[in-house]
Amino acid sequence: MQRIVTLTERKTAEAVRRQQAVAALALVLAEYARAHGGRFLLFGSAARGTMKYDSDVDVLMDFPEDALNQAWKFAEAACWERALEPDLLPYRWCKQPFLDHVAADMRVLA
Amino acid sequence: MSDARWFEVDTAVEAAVRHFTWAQSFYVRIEGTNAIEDRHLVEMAFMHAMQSGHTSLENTLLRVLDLCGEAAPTGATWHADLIRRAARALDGRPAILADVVAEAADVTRRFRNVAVHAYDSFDYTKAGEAVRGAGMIASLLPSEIARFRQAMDP
Repeated sequence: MQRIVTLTERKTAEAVRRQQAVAALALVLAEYARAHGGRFLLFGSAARGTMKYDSDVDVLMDFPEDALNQAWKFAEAACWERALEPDLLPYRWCKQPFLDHVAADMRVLA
Repeated sequence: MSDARWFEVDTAVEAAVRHFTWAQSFYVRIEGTNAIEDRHLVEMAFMHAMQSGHTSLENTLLRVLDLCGEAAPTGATWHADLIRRAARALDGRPAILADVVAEAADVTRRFRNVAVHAYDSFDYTKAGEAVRGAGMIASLLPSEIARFRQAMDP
């Protein structure tokens, strides 16, 4: 009988895949940020290295007003290309309590 | 005789215009509303109107694709793909949306994504560009659909 791949095994494999995909994503986001005068800030499980099989990628975008739209599109496409679900938020839209809450995890990509 | 399904398309267009128009109105009121309960009401009304406006816009585009016998995009990126598709002439039909309107639609799509995921984390007063996008759609969507209808079902 063909070996059964349990749901637990599938979930573990997907979690590992997502974490590896985030490592590749971080490189291209940092490169983009350097080239466009801004920065991306990874936070949450993707930044902590504790992604689960269904975790999305939490990213704040800190770019000049006229560069934000393109940075947003770039980050969204970069996530999709790696089969990651983006959860993107402009940095300057954030309330201070939220920034304080995620500060401990934050990983700057620039 | 014109296809009867334009009635549902027009209804979806009217809903998009109505919601996005209200969203602009609520947005202007946020800044000057200081009482906690009133502020919350206006913020929630704004957020909900923006989301409903974009959902109505998507409903419009999906119904138009259906009218054309064109399969709607699927998969995790279908919301973005729908707008991209609408901005392109394809298989004997013109583009449904001009580039400038499609760009505005992409802005309101991204706003909706933020609102759904981070509704308690961001300051609504900073979402000016999304509101401008909503305004553009409210003012141009009816004529865009009318142009498309004239070409496809004269």
